[in-house]
This record gives sequence, structure tokens and C-alpha cells, in this order.
Amino acid sequence: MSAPTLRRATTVRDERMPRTVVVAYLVAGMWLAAYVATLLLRHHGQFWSWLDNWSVDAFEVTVALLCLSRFLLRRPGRSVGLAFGLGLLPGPSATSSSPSSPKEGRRPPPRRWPTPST
Amino acid sequence: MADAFYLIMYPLAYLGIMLIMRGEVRSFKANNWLDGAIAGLGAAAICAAFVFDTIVNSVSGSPAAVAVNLAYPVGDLILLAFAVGALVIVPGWPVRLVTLAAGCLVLAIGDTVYLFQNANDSYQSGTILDASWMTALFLLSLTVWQRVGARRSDDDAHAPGFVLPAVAGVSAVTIIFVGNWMHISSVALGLTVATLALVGVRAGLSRGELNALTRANHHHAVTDELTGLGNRRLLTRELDAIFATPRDSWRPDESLALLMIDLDHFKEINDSFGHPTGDGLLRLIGPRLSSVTRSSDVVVRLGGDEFAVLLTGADVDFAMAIAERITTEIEPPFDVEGSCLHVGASIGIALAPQHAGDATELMRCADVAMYRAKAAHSPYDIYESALDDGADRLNLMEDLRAAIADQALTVYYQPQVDLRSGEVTTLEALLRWSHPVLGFIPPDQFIPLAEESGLMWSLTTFVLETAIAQCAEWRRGGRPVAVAVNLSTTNLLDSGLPGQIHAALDRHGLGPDALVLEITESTVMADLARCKEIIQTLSDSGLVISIDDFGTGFSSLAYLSDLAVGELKIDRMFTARLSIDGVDGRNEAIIRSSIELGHSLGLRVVAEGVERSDHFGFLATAGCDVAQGYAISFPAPPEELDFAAIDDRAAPMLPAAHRLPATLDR
Repeated sequence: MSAPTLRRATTVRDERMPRTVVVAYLVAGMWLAAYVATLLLRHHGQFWSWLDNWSVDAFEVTVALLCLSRFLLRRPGRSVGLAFGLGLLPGPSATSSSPSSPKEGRRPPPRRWPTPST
Repeated sequence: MADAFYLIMYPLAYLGIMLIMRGEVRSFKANNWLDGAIAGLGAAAICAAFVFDTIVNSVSGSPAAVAVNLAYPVGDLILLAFAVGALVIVPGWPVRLVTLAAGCLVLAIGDTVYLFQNANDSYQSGTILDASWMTALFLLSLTVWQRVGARRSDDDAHAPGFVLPAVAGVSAVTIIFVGNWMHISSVALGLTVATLALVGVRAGLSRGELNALTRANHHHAVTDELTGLGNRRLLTRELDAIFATPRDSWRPDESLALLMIDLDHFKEINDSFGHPTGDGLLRLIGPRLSSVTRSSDVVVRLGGDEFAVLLTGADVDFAMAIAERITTEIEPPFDVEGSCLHVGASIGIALAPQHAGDATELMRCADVAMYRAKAAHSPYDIYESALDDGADRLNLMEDLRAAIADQALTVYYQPQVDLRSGEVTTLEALLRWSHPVLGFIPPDQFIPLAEESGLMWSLTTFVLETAIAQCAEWRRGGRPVAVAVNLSTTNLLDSGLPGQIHAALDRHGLGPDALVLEITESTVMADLARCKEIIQTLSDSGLVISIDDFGTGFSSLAYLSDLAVGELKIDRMFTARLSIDGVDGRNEAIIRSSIELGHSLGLRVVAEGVERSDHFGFLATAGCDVAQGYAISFPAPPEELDFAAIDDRAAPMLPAAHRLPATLDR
């Protein structure tokens, strides 16, 4: 097979999302759907730290890593993955390392939102 | 502290969007960026005007807390503006950008609603609002892996055009207008002013673009696409501008010279090598012409193989010098697609004010001079009013075109008699044109006109159709004759000719024996290889090809053995010079040799121009097969031809020894 054909074939393959990434996004999508389902189904005011804090943080880190994977796999357009990955990763990582506690008996907001000022 | 880590997302997300845009669109013009910025700023201005105050009022606490709380909606607003701008810039709503905009929108809504609820102390965790950040993040992350759309060029990247900037501009004006009744925050005002400023810049750039486009269109309108030289419009415009200035007298530096240049043998090159080669040759002509002219001179291609050079401040000597330099420059062969091509040029020179007082007249004069140069095979000629029959010539050309269209031409027939039987075997079709005003116009005047004006194909088609139809009629009347039709170089280089001829014969139920095609040496020599091919095709199909005017050309006799011809027509020049008693030493020798040559090559020999009865006898004795001339019959329209009378006239002229018995004749 000639070199140009190889190059062309490589380019075509690069445009496709790797199967593992597809699977990862499917899992993330289901994860999100499940979380939405728990929000809809839970009783008013119910809060589980493992779900509303740790699970959400894990989800955020996962999707940030999925962005970075584009950069790490050296796919075309990897700089976008790097920018988004680096943008999304620090927040959940920081909050995961220093979890906040409920204030004045209220349920804390999701980690990403600013600390209530009132 | 965690806020700082979250807020770092914004600049990196802006960078990510810019990088996505770079992937979606190959290149941007400033206007594309401005469209996006205007759309984004417009959206931000609207949001700021109607939502921002509420947000600001809802935030309280330490300055740092206020700043942090505001940083999120402001960051969201800018992010949304970026995403909307991206959607505006890239046409076709790519899924990737729609996902991006959706992510930004969800983020902005989530942050804003949270801020309101938080301010009202109505926020409760565990509601669907808590999923907004995850959803937004998921969508933004998905954007990274979505396939890059087909990269669009900057020309494609302007789908909304003026619409969105206009909408944003109107929105900004509306915000300022509404500010008379309600309080508008300084942020909203700042965004509105920025939007309007960008709309102004956009309008300025658009005006610049429009001017550039106008200039490009103008350039395109006066440029010949093939050669990159100016075109006829440019020449006319330049001349009109020069002649538009009223002048009582022309100063020497104002005098003009127009050189009209026509390439010699270009048509043959085009026909033989094909149009791409012809076009390649024309492209190479331009630089050579430009190399011998000054930068102030105008070099244009008028169309086809015609070029023109307009020299300002030029007298006749300078014009001649340039004409000579052009001739010298064009002389070396052109290398076109591996073919080495030689062309010449015929140049007509006309001067103003000496020869013409306006642009049209100057061009006509140069045209006339060019035709004279071509006719005289001279490299260039200078216009002379005394020799100007150009207008008549052009009029005649138009009349000929009309005559062909109206079938106002007539085909006459001149019989050829078999010198053994005395019978008419073939009739040569000769075109006659009786001009309604000028009267009879000889073929040697209008045939070259037809060649020049590209009417040869129509003319030959008319003669072929008419002659074949007439032949069919004669054959139906019991006369087994054939018709002979003359072909020009143009016809012979037409690869569709054999098909055209056989279609005509088939239409009239005739075989190939009903037609003889006459060609001259010069016709064949224009492109021997190609003509040879067509002649072979015609001959293979049973048609007889006759070499007309044999002996008058300058070509080698070698072509006779190469061409599939079946007949030789000795030119009238030789028969006309025969002495009364039929014995003029040199002409007799030429005629006898020609007859022997023809016979030895297996060709039928025809002698034309037989004007005297004693020539008849000589030719028959010399072994000539067929004779044609006034001695037998003048060319006549078919209804005036009396075959019986011709037979009666021809029979006594034949020597008794050569006459076939009557029983064998018929």
C-alpha cells in the first residue's frame, strides 16, 4: 500500500471517536440521567453527600479527563481538549480535596456554585 | 479558594471556543470576527440591561464576595456571547457549535437562577437546578470530541451577513431608547456603546469591502480571463476617454497608434491540437506582447486570436518599430504542452488623428490595415484611406451571412464530359451569389470572406445538401451522373465531415459514387497529417477525392502517393495556354506528363478550362479521361442544363478514333 493511502486511512480513523471514549461518554450520559432521576424522585430537601458531593465531583473530573484525553491521544483538535480539560478539571479537584460542610443547617449547593453570601 | 479554581474555567473556555472556531473555519476576515463580536456583545447588552441590575441588587456582602458572585454570571454572559458569536460566524448550525451554545446556555441559566434563589434565600438543594452544572459540563466536554465539520472558507463564513449586526445595532439603540424610561446599568450601557461602536466599525469595513469588490468587478470587467491582459472593453474605454477630451489640435505627445494583431495559422493550430493547446498558446502571447511595449501602453486581447496594442504619444515610425519588435518576439516557437508551435502575426497600424477622429473609426482602420497585411502576407501594414474598402468588406460579410441564412445563394453546375464516351459523367457544383445591390459577386471574393467570418461550414453544408438533392433528381430522371463539390481547409479539418456527407447521401437515397469531393493542394497542406486522416476516412467509405487545380501549388508531389485520392484535375492554366492547334511545347509536355503521372498512380485525370473544341481532341488523344470547360458548357443552374445538347456538342469534338460506339456509350 502506498504512503498516501496510509496517511489518508489514518486521517479518516482519527476523525472517529475511539470506542473507549464513546463508551465513557455513554456511561457519563447515563450517570447524568441517573442523577437527574434521583433529583426528580427524591423527597424535598433530601441530601446525600456521597451522591450530591462526591458523585458530582467524580462526574466533573471524569468529563474533564475525557476532554484531556483528546489532547493526550494526540488527536486533531487536541488543543481544544487541552483548553476545556484544564478549564474544567481544577474546580472539582479543589473542592474534592477540601469538602465544605453545610452552613447553618442548610443543605450546601453543588460544589461549583459560589459560596452563599447571605 | 474553590471559586478561583472554578473561575479559571472561563478564560480557558473562551480559548477553547476560539480554537473550535479555528477548526471549523479555515480563515476569517475581520468582518467575520466583528459579526461574532457584535452578536455576542448585543446579546450581552440585552441580558445586562434587563437582568444584570437584578443580579447586582441580589448580591450583597463583602466586596470580595460580591465580586466572586458576580464573576460567575458575567463569565457566563461572556461565554454565551462567545458561543452565540461562533454560531453566527459559522453557517449551517454545526452540531458541535449548537452543543457548545446549549452548554453555555444551561450554565448561564443555572448560575443566574441559583443567584436569584440564593438572594431570596429560596434555594433548596436537591432540585433539578443542581443538575444544570453537570449537564453544562457534559455538553461542553462532548463538544471536544464531536467531529469537526467540513472546514469552511472565509467566503462561506458570512451566512447572516448584515442581518445579525443590524439586529444587534437595533437592539443597542433600543436599549438606549428604553433608558429614557427605566434605569440601565452602566455595564449594560457600556456593552451597548461597545456594540454600537463595533457596528460602526463593521459598517466601515463593509464599505471598504464594497469598494474593494467594486474595484475587483471593474478589474474583472476589463480583463481577459484567458490571458490576463485587458479586453476589448478596456481598449474601448481607453480610446473613448482619449477621444472624449475636446482637442483643437493634437500635440505630438497626444498622438495615438493602434496596432491590431491577428495571429496567422492559429485556427489550424486550434483545429489540429485542440482548444486547450490553442488557449495555452494565447496565454503565452500576452507576455511576449507586453515585453515589447511600455508600461503606459495598453495591451489587450480582443477575442479569438486577435490582440491590440494602443500606443500613446506614438508616431508612425514608433508604431512601425513596435510592430517589428512584436513580429520578432512572436517568431520563436512556443512550447505548449510539449508541442513546439510556430505562429506568425499580421499587424495593422492606424494612427490618430491622421487616420481617425474617434475610437470606432480608429479600430476599423487598424482592422482594415491588418486584413491588408494578412492578404499581402506582410508582417504589418499601415492604414491608407485610398485603399480602404474595409467598410464595404464588413458589409459584404454581413450580407453573405444573411444570404446563407435566407438560402439566397444559387448553385450552378458545370458538366464534365467523358472523353471516350462524350457523355456527361459528373457536374461540378459552383456557388453563385447574386447580390441584390452589387449584382453578381465572384466566388473568389466571397469565399475568402466566408473563411474569415467562419461561415465556411454553413456554406459547404448548403452546397452539399443542394448538390446531392439535385444529383438525386437527375438520377431519378435517368441521368446516372455524379456531382463534385469543392471543400475548403476548414471543411477538411472537420472530423464530422464524413458523417455529415453520408447522412446527406442517405437522406436522398444515394451511394458514395454520386459524389466527388474536390480539394486543392494548399487545402491539404494546411495540415497534411489531419487532412490525410479525413481523406482516408472519406475514401474508405467509397467517395472519390479529387485534387483540384493540380500543378498550381508549391507542394511536393510526394503527397500524391500518401493521400487516398482517386482523381487529378489539371488546372485550367495549362489547358488555356495550349495553342490553337493543340501543340504548345511546354504546356503540352506538362499536360501529357500530368496525365501519365495520374494514370500511373491509378487516378482518373480531368482537364479543366477546356475552352476550345480542338483542345478536346488533344486531351482525348493524350489519354485524358474527362474534360470540363466552356467548350462543353458554361456553368448553369440545373433547370437550364440540357444534357442532350451537351452530348451533341461534345461528340463531334472528340477524335473519331477515341469515340466509343453509340451502343457502348449508353
